[in-house]
Amino acid sequence: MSVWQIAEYSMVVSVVALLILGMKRLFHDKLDARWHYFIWLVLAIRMVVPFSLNWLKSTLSLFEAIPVHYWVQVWQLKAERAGIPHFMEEIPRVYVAGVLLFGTYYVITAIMVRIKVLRLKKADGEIYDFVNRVAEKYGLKACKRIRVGRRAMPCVCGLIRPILVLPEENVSEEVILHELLHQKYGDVWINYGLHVVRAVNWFNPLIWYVTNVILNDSEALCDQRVLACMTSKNELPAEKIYGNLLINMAARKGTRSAKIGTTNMANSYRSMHTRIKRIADFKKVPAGLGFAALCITLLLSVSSVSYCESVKIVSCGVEDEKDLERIVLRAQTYQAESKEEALYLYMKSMIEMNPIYLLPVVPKEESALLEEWIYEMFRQDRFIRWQVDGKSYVGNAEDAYYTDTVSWINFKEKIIENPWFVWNGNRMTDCWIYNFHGDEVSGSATAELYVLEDEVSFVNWELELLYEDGWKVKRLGEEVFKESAWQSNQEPLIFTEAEGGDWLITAFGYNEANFNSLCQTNTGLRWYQGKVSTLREKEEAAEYPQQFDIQYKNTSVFATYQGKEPLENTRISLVCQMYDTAEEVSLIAVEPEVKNMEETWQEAREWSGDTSTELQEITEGGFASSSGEGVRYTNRERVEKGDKILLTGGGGGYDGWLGTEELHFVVWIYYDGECVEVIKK
Amino acid sequence: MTAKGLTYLKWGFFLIFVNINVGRWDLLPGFLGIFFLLKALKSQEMTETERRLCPLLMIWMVDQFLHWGWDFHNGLESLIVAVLNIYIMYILLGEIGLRVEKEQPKQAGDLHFIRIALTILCVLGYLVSAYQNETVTLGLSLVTISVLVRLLWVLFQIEPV
Repeated sequence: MSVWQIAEYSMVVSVVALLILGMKRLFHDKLDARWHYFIWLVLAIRMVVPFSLNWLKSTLSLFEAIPVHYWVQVWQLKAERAGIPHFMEEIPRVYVAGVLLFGTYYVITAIMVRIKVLRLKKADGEIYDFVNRVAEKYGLKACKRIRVGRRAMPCVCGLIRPILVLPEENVSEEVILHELLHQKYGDVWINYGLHVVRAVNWFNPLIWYVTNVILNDSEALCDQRVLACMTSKNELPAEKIYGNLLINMAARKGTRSAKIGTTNMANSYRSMHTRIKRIADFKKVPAGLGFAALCITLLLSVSSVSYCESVKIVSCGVEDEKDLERIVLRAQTYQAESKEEALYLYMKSMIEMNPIYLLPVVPKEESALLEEWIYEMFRQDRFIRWQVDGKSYVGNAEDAYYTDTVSWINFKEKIIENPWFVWNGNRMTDCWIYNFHGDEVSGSATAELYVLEDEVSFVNWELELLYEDGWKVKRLGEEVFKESAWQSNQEPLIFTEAEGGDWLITAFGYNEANFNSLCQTNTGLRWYQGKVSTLREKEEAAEYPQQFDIQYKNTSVFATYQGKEPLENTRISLVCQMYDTAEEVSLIAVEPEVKNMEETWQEAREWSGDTSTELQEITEGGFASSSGEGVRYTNRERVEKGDKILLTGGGGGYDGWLGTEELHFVVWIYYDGECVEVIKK
Repeated sequence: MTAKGLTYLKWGFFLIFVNINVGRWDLLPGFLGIFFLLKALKSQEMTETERRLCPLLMIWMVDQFLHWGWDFHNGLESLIVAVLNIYIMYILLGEIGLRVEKEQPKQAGDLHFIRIALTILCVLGYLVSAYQNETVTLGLSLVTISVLVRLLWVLFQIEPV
């Protein structure tokens, strides 16, 4: 428990309490005492449930409009930067000590109250008879233990074996009815619960005030129940009789009202004021409002407990350094909630060359350096700014493409040297993530960025994922430059091979996520060879695509010719089919001499359930579009030893094979249409 | 209900529920509709409940006026307005129902049904708005429109006293 958690909890509870107080004020004479009391359930739920419900959308949340979480994070960030004073570290201990102190005080007080009540005189038979008569009249359970005192205020004391306390003289039927109703509805439990709330929030005066209001509302509700009982027995004018009784009780001097562990019929004049008003309003508040009151309570409950996502990252509205500080703070307080989201933000920052999106995912040790670099870039006016809808955006050359209002300026000439962005300041056109895996606390992935210089080239980064406060992405080692794309030359997540005749079949499994494809599926960001073809939706900044998943895998299957002599003047056809399990593979017939290629394909097609597609030829060069499903073949006229032929795999991305941890395949090899080999794994 | 009161009511509900926008300007502003509802209440002797409803109608009218002139969105304000909306509609239709109950019990019954339906739709609309599910939103909109048409129809059926 940190001081920030305590502050956030207290603020959240205070905001909900203020909302309820506001609503009560709004409906003070428009809804009955029942609603005024039970609306506090919203606060009770918020207090008891320290987390938010994720399945409720954040836009419903009260804390979307009042971003308490964000405020506390900003204070924390500022305090950490300024250097947290020593006494701040002691605050949690002081808090716990306060809770224990107040808790102990209340326990002792409750025991003392009980002892005091037990010391009071036992009621005589006359009072017992009177109480029993009242209970019987109104269909209530009589109290078995009754004590009387000369100066005692009427109350019910105790949880398990409640004692009814009454004054020795002038006990009216209404007073007994009031206390019996308290006993029936277990209001002493509420009293204890509220004292627990006070102990937990001992430092928050608003909660003290609110608990007083709730206690008073509990009494007001009991008053209403008394009036309802009296009215049902035609005891009129009930309001006048009962109201006068309360005023007289409150006016009695020298009366003592025990607070904890009891109900308290006569409280202060100030509290009595509300109760008298409610009594006067008893029949004026419109009846039959239960349904509307329930709906109002439902809305307030949902908005109080619904999930409020981390504050959104923005990179617009920057006019001066103060604006920049605002967006930097927002970004720094944003927490990537999953590895996927962290990688997405990382890719986004690289593609857009926007350091604001990098801020939430750089490890803590790098955060201050990155922030310093951003400010330096800003001070030297090296960011490109532009106006959209009257808002000034700051970012980089890439983003300028979205607007058509500013021509692209070569970032290379403007960038200050840094360890995060592209090695030579060139523009990224696309980003892929490969071999993404991990557990609850760490992970790793390989990022491949396509760089537009004179022509497309590729750079690879090894990334480490770690959890600090939110998921972070750390670049490991130096970047590796490549002339060709990723496929075929990376270490796979899973690998298997099988041999048959002159052929070696190797299969690789990996997962991949393509930034541009993900954004296309998400909100319409579309890049193709460095050009934007659709405008970015503003929501895209805050969402990351669900398709970017650790489970999605692609496969590549290669056939390598190992024969000593080259194979010439022969039409070589290789048909490949992937399967999910070894069992499926074992069921595939392997009688090459009786099957031609078409028959084999038909059989494989039946097994794969792929009844709609044609036998697809994979051409030489380029990426095959296969994601591993279905049947593919490739034709060659000549192969030499060491020739590696791609049978299936490549591309696909998130729509690829949702893989298992095993790779299974069958490859049929044909020479001039005759099957010469079937290789299974 | 007096004839004058009924006319104000019809105009009030019509302006609140029907929007014709030119650019960002609503030609049938909601705040004017709420003003007519207030006029409808004040055109006859008010019950205690109706008297207590007036301040809430005023708050709602001011809010609608601000929305009409100024395009803004605030979650807290939306929540408060949704709550106000539920209460006002529920009470107002209930009170109209009580006024006509003796002479036209069928219309009163219809109004009772409509106020419950509108309350449910308001709650659902508020909750569903966050999810932006087109199908559900469309379904809710269609149901709401039919309930509102029904409301106007019932109001036209009420005979003034």
